[in-house]
Amino acid sequence: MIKFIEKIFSGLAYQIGKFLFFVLLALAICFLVDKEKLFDIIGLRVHAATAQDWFEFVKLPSIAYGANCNDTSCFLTDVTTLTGYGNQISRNFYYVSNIYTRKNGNGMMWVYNTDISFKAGYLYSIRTYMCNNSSTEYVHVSFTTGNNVANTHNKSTLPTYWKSVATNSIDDFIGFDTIGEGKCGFVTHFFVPSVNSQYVGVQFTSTESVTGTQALIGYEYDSLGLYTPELRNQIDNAIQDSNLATADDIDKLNEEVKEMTSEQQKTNENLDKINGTLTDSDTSQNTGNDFFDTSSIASSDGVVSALLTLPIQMASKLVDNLGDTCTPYQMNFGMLGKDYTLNFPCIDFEEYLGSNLWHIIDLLFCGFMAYNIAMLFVSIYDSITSLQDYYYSYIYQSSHEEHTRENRRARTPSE
Amino acid sequence: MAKAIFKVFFNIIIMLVNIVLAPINALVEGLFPDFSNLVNSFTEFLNQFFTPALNWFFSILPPNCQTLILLWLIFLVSFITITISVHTIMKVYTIIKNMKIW
Repeated sequence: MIKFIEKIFSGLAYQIGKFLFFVLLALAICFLVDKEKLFDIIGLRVHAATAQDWFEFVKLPSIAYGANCNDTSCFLTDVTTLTGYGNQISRNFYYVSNIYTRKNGNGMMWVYNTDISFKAGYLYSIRTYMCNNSSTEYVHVSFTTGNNVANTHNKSTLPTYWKSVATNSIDDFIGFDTIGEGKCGFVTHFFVPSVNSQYVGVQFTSTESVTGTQALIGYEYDSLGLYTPELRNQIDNAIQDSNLATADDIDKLNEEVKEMTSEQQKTNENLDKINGTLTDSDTSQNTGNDFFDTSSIASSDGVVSALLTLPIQMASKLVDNLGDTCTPYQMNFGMLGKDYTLNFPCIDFEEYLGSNLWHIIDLLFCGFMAYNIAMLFVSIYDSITSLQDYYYSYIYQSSHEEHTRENRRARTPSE
Repeated sequence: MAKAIFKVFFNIIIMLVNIVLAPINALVEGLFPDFSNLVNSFTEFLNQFFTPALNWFFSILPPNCQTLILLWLIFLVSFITITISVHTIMKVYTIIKNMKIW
């Protein structure tokens, strides 16, 4: 029995060795043809940036400055000088202790000097978190934007966008919402600036004039990733400086997504086929005894049969599971009290080597295998016609025969 | 198509083995304890352990080569199965024939 296993495995090792030789030969050819692709195959390349990096970069930063206005004048200064109007608690969070809101007036205004430029024609979202401590009055929150670049202003010098708040009529008026008495809430709006701007304004008004209202104002904004050539160029330039992925990477990403979708479709089709097979098998109530039934193979009736037909059962499983799509293999094993998993990912050599080279390798393998199959048939034919079972004597030699042969050899005088 | 042919081929072999070994199976099952659970667990272990690995191995091969290697493997497995079966059957029948109870 041990000899039988030894012979089987020595034959197997020989075949595997031949296969590995061909694989190494293919890799050597690949290395000579395209060294870069070989690095991709064996995983030596570390990509500079992933898609997630790119999207993280696209997310725009938060504000840096703020200002406050009352009904007669507007103070647009650095937040560090906002005495009496508000204190910056964190980078984008402010506490305002003395909001003066007036009916139909300008109320209190904050103007944020952002650290990015809002491009005209692109979509943005803006959000403010506010707590209205007044127990009697609603506070209305509205947003404005415009191209105000000076450091100090009063109402009369504000650009047209700012004045438009009162009329609520022109394009740059972003939005309007209401915070109830003693409540906190987010106010979110979308806006598309009509001119390039670096300033966003928030205005608080009320139905009746109220003084002394306190508010916590958190403030953030995001680009919604609206895709236009101009925006893309702008982002590409910024990304190029930061050594992250470029627009070409996004094209590659899109191609990869398309390929993934295509592969997914193929997988779904295969699953449909498998489902169809399962349904057919169930409905026909196959007993596995009909040898012309190709959906399954017959089962072994007894212990001896099961052992003898074990290789066939395995080969049948192999034929069943062999498909066009690759399944990653995970080998679990335990060592020193720990569980380990070895992952063997799918490798698409055709993608890396190119279809021409892959077909050449395919042909070489086919030639090699055709030779092996022909030799197998020759040996089977030889075995049958000579009434001698070479294969059986190759894989198994009884101890009795071995003993007899050794005795015969011992009796034969050495030359 | 190739898969269907292989399946028919397997079924024929298994049917032949089952028919020829029917009396021996019956004898073994009658004389010895029930080994079927043991055999099933062994078969299951082999299938679980080796079949996914072989599937993975075959999936990285070129498509034409896959079919040819499979063909070669199946012929080899079938031939060895038939050979071993014949020898086993002959030995078992020899043992039965030599029993003095007949």
